[in-house]
Amino acid sequence: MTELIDVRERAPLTFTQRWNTYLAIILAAGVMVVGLTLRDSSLNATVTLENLESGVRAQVPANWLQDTTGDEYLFRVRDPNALPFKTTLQVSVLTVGPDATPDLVLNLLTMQRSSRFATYHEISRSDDTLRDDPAKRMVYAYTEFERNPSLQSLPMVIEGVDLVVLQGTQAVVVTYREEQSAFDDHLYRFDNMLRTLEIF
Amino acid sequence: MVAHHRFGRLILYAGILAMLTGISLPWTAARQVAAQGEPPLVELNEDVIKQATVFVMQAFLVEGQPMISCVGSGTLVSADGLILANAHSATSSDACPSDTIIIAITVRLDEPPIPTYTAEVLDASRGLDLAVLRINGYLDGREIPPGSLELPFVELGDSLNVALDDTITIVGYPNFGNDPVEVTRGTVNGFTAEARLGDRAWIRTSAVIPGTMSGGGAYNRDGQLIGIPTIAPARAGGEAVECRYLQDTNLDGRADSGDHCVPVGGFISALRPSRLARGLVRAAALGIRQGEMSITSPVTAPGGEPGFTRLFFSTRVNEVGQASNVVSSVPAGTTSLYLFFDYNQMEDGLVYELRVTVDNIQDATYSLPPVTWSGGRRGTWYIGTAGLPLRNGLYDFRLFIEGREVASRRILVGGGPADEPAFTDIIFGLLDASGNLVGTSYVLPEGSAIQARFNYRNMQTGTPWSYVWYFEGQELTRDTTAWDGDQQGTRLITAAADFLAGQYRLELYIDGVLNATADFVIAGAAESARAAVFSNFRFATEQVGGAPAGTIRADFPAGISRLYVFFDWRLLAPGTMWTRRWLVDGDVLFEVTEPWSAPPDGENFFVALSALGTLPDATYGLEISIANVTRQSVSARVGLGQLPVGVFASASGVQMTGRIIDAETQEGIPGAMFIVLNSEYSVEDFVWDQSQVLGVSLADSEGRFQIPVLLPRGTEDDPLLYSVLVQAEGYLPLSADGIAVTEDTESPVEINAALSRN
Repeated sequence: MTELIDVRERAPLTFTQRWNTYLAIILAAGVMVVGLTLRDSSLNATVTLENLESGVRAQVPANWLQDTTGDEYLFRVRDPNALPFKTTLQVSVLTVGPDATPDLVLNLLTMQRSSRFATYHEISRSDDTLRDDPAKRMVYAYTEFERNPSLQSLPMVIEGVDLVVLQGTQAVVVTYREEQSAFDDHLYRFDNMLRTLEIF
Repeated sequence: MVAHHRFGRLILYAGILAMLTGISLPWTAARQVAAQGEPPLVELNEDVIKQATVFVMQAFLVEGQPMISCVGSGTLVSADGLILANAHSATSSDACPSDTIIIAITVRLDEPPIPTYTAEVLDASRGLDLAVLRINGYLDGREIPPGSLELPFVELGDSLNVALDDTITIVGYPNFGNDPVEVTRGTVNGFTAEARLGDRAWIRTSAVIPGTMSGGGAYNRDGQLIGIPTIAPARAGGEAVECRYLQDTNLDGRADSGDHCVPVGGFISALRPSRLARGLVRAAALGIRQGEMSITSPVTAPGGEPGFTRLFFSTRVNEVGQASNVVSSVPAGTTSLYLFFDYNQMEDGLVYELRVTVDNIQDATYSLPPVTWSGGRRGTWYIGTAGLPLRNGLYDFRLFIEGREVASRRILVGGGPADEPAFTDIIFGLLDASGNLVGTSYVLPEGSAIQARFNYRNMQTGTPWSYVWYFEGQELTRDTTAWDGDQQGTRLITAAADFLAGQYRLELYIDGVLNATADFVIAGAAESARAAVFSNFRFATEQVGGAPAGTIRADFPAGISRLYVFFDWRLLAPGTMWTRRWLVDGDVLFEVTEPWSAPPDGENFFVALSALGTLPDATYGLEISIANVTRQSVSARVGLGQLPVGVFASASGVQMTGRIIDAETQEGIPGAMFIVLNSEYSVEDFVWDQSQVLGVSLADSEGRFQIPVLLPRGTEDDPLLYSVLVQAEGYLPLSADGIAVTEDTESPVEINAALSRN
């Protein structure tokens, strides 16, 4: 029995071939970086919302549903894609007396929400600042459920955070709400909005 | 990715196309049937009506445990939770004690209702047995702010357009909430007249309606609410009613005859027309209530048993609700017959009943089943039938109060037209200097002489006739003479006396038999032969010590929360029945008839309207009547002087429902967002501004969604075109333009969207 063994030496790449390979890899990586950058800039694109009457302006994510018609807030944006809860950012203004404190405002919010949100309870309260102004931050949770009686959904635990800052006779309340398991993941949205928030 | 996107969009278009194709077939069928002269198909949307029908439970707490005392049905008449129901199903009484009203709603059409909300009574009329409730919280005690709900609701129709033999659909709950909402059909087989409410105080139906459906709804072919099935409330300690022992209310460990028994009543054959509820509903929707009024001393009346006296029949009722004639028999073919009677010691909410037998056989058509009394303490009342031919026979009318027979009267129907002598159409007035009767009315000024004019026919010379004048029920004067006039014509008689303010009556007899009668009121002073009773009307925003304060004018800026009307009055006897009507943009919101309880003369009597927030921009009117004769009508503008357009939401649009699924797994996508844009925007125009959005719904755990607002309809020639978007994280978004909604589009429009993963 005869066995043929073909043994060949692999020819070394030419200079051109080697650099072509390097360039292709670099180009692919570049395209990927550009693509990711474009995607990130698209996902993190923002628009400016403002209420001149109350003197509040902030950058909010673009392509979120913007609502400036509510009675309880100056503006509110919700992520239409988020599942199962629509991530919510909102800014509201309360008229307060000259002796009001951020804690008093948070107490008022707690009293209002306790009668409206199921199982509402406050989790924590801490001092904070907003552009060097003293502020108060409150974290809370409640149960959200379907309000349309014809639809059936399991209740969700929603976690929220409010940041209150006093400005003259008005208290500006910045709010972020998210389904509890995704709360930390999307907290940067809230921080981004706070960074761009202007009270004038 | 693009291909997937296109594929998903294709599925959505296909779904919409399938839906439109599906609903186009019934339209074609409907047109063909209509072309053949058949009645149009029933178009009412039963699903929406069923969902808008709620189960009302009154409950009271015993050691912290809720106990059900009474149950009934109700109907949502606004998206934010206004409910129209029977007053007796919603207000606490001896038979139905309650601390709380619990509202159970239909979630799945084939299942019993689920207790979900609590409600409060905004306004109620015990006499009409109608109440408007507002859902104000969840069962765990959380409040629901006004305007925050988006519930299915129905629209009030025009009950005056209901005709004999019309098919109607009645919706309600057939028992204690053990069964799903029930639909029953029947026809309109008559109308029952009542004083103050006209010939259509009740709609009568052949449908078999269980007692617990009382407070539900009766609908016309367009799905509009035209009547409220109404049964008399149960009476604590009254005659035995059918009831059930449901709970151990006395906490003795047993649910037995010692516990509260929940009444179920019998069967319903009478519907309160929806027009009688329109004012209550509109006032509740606008957040307007009757405010304070002058403090007065209620007229004291001698006590005694409630009763009916002086029964007589008439075939005609004049414009102020009085009998135009008095008859003791009527010819064959008569279509209207009214039983008049005086009443005393009555009270709104008492249960009364009319049983009619024809040749000793009970006849439900002309009877009035037990219903609540709405006429106040004393006066003259009538019940009757109009526009329905009476068959020949001997009719016995028997009146009952709280199950006790109190009066009866008999009349013969049949034979040819009578040529017996008769007096008809009495009216009162004053003579001017030329001897002409002027100022004809049923309200006359104080003076020393009153003329009564009446028609007569078939009178023979020498026939004895007489007249009797009464003042406050006491005979003033009478005379009997032989007739000395023509056979037919008009005659005047004069009563000379010091006519003081108060209530008067004239009775005319022929051969000792009552032949005509009319009541009139003396009030006010004579001004050009008219009675000037009320004067110096002023509108104000406040009152201080019974005098107008704040802004006093007839044109107010927007934002006021109270509106007072002050007026002066003279020569109005205490006890005289007067009516006040509040109108907003011409629609009556409140109407109250009660005895005058202030001194005969005075200044600054006031009545008021108040709002929960601010009174909406509108023209507010007040009408005051005495003895059904309008004496004064004034109005004031607030803000723009008319209600904002669309302030009363329409229930006549199209509902959009459907399911959002994963194209691959066919599973629902919980939380996916379905957006419908206002018809003036397309997907391309949408910049994620809520003001461009008509409605949004998030898919439930099965992927089902329901847009909470109804899509307004366009016309066949100019359909409204809607655009929709569907979004969910991890899926390619879908969108579509051009979903046409016309007056013929069947509701609900169902759209199924399959999303592809990205």
